[in-house]
Amino acid sequence: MKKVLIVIPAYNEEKSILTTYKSIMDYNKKGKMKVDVIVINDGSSDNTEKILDDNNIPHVNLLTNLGIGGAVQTGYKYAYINDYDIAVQFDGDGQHDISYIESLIEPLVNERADMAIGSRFINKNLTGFKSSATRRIGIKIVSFFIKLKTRKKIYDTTSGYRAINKKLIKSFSKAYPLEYPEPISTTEALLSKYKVEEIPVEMNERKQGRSSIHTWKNAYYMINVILNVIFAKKGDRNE
Amino acid sequence: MNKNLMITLIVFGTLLILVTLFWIYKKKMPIKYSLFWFFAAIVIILVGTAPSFVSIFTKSIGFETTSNFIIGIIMAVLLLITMLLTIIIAELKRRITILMQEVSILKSQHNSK
Repeated sequence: MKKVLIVIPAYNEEKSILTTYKSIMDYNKKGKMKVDVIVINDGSSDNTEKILDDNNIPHVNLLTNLGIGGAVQTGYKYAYINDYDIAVQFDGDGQHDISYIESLIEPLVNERADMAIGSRFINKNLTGFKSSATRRIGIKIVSFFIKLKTRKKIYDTTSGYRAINKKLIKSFSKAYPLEYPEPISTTEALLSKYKVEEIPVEMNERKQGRSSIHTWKNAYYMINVILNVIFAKKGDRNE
Repeated sequence: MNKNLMITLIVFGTLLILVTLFWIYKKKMPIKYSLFWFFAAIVIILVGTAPSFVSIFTKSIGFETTSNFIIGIIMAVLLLITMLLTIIIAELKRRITILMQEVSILKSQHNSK
């Protein structure tokens, strides 16, 4: 049985973090497998920390806000220190559905892939939230550049519902992009010859909080991500 | 070069040396980094005392007047320094991030015991 850790980065998620945690605990009660959870409280200024403490939710409080990349990497470091086989990034805002976890980690358990991305766009029959029209165009453009650079088509480039195996836990815990981490780390993993697979999942519309990708920052985001993808190199960037 | 500009350069160069000495005295600037500023101050004073030395380069590079040339050089040096600072800050940010992550994990482990 593989040791699986769910990493939940949380920045000001007081309204949704408990529901998210409970949904995972409910899954543990009835599901075929059990997963551990670590919430990375990314220097929240609301009551997130208190809720985590009061409900005995396992968590790491970052001393200051490090942003999504720094928070997720903390989770990978925790997974590495505690010898987990698989780490799954999972949003704290209710966007992700825990019931897809078995199909998400299946390619890793059967050693077909090193990374599995929960994708909204590869099974057209699945409904659920598919992001706004402008954001979908952005995702397609990023997808085009990743294909150009790595020759591999990744459809849901910004999906934050992802699983990685032990090899990538080690690599990411040492070096992980601090900003725009999803598309960039995927590109770097592909360039380093790690196998990446996309698994169809449904997502919900964000219940609380705001996306880390704000509308007015979209153009800036796109330019940054595209340049990062173009300049991405194989191997560990931050070492 | 205009006499007034010569005097201004010499005064400015001297002030730069004094300010650098002040920061060293206050232990805010390591000697290692002060060397660059001393060097910059000495160059400015030299240009002020012997402008003919500079005017040789002025026309050949394409500046009309020596004063423009001096401003051009200063701007180029400042741009370079700003660029180096960007790199230094990015590296410091990376190190602080690692530090924060490691300390935060240790602290959470300590608290859960």
